[in-house]
Amino acid sequence: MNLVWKLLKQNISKGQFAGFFIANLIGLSIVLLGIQFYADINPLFSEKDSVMKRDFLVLTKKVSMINTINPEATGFSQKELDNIKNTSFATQVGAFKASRFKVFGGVNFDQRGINTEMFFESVPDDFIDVKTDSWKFSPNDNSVPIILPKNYLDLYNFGFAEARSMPKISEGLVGMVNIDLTISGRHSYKEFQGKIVGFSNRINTILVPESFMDWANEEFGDQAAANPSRVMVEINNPTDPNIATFLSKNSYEVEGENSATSKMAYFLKIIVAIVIVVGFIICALSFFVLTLSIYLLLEKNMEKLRNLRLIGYAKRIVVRPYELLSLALNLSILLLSLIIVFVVRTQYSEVVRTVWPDFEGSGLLPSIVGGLLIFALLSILNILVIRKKVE
Amino acid sequence: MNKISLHEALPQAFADMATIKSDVWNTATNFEKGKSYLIKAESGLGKSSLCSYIYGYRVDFLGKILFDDTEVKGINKAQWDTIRSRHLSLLFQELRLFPELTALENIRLKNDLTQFKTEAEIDRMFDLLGIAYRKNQQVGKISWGQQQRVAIIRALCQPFDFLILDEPISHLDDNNAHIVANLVAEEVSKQGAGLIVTSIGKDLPMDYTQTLSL
Repeated sequence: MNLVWKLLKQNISKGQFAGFFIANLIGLSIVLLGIQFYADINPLFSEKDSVMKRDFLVLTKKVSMINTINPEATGFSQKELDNIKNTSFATQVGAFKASRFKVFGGVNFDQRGINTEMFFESVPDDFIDVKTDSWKFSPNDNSVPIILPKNYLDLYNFGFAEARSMPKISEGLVGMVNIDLTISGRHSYKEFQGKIVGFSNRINTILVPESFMDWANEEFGDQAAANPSRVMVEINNPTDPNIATFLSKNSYEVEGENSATSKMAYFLKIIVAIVIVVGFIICALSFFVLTLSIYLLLEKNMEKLRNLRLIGYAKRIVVRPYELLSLALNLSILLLSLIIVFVVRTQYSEVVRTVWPDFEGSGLLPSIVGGLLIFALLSILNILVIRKKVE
Repeated sequence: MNKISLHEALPQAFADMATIKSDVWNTATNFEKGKSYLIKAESGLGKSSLCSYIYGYRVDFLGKILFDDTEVKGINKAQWDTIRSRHLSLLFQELRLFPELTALENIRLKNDLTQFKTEAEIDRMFDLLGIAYRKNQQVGKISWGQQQRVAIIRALCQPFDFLILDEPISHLDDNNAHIVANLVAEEVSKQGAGLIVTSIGKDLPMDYTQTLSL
């Protein structure tokens, strides 16, 4: 093997191999960084908050003179709901249901307490952006899960508590507080324990399960059912220009700037995809550089290879040095690019943590798996090229 | 392998030469193990072609060449690897040494594969052929006659049923020709092999079982 290698390493062009090495190192690093970054950042847009993964709009009608005179006009009629449902961008439409009964809520600490009149709304469960198992209600229960807007908590923590030097309250702590609820209407009432099960980033109202709302409206509702004043629309593409056209044509308003995150997620995906594609192109080009170098090398050493075969050396022995050479090159590129990914990742992790303190990332597994796949693919192709070239 | 037989074998290039007069081409010829053959010919009559057909790296011939009962055209590449390291040894007319390696490395390259000769046996051959002092020089830098002797040593570094020498002494003086003849005869008889030697006038001095003219 030693002498075979001594013979066959003749004519190896260090320049060509260095060129391949650098090009492929850059390409592979870009691909792996793209994969790693996407895997790390993706949870920010998906897992933590299911509604962020999907794109929603909350639509209301513009409040104008006509609404004030004729309250009916504030709501969305069935015809209008169907109309929204039939647009090209809407995949699902859910109407808000409002409570038609009276609600009194109170919180008591020791002797002191506060009581207030409240209202509830509900949306279909599918639109809820809080992950919890307790989001359910049956008429036998005397506790009701409640979701508050995240804004309420932020308002308290960053406004009120900050200004008054009062302790900040975490979501977990709020969950331990019970709200005494009294629901009344039609000359009867019932008491419940309200449990705050989560805070919604998207839905700006006090939410209860739709099953509770239907039951309570049935039992205690003493006002006529009105058309929903707000609807949630799930959309397939937040950048669709038809949305804006549709909204202005029908004088609908979008509540808040909620689509900003989904737009960010959308652009992030596009940018990461572009980066990965560029990396792959560089990888592919560098693969061709290596293939050409090997071809050239084999061509220059063809006479030696032939003579080795003629004195009885088997093909697998004479091609092995070249196979090992490309394997070693590819492997060292893989290891180096994984190190690069690791180093760069520690750098960007710090940046990400400044805006997202819970950032943990997904481990190095995605880039290791991706790198191994590319390594295997390139090495197999190299070996096939070599075996095909040598008779 | 006990017998190499040619049946109506003829290089394709000679196909239009209808009446070729030859002891080998276009007739039936056998080479048997344990015997020695001298093939004499003027240049251009296909000596090296015959060697390449038997050694399996050219197939541009008509008719059949058989090893015992196996046709050479049907032997696959992996089988040739075994044949070339265990059954057939060829001294190429163009030597096919590796000029980048030293004389000794050229020999070792073959012997590493066959594990046939000891270091001492190789040294003895270098001494006998008078090129021991060239052992560690790059083959590309020594004379053709010296290279020829290195190639002869390499041809002997393997077990064989037949040894084929294509113009083995074309660049050697008579004294060295005798030394080569003795060394080859010794190895061939030790292995009980067949010997085929070609010549364009300068014959390897031995007693041949049969002399054929191509």
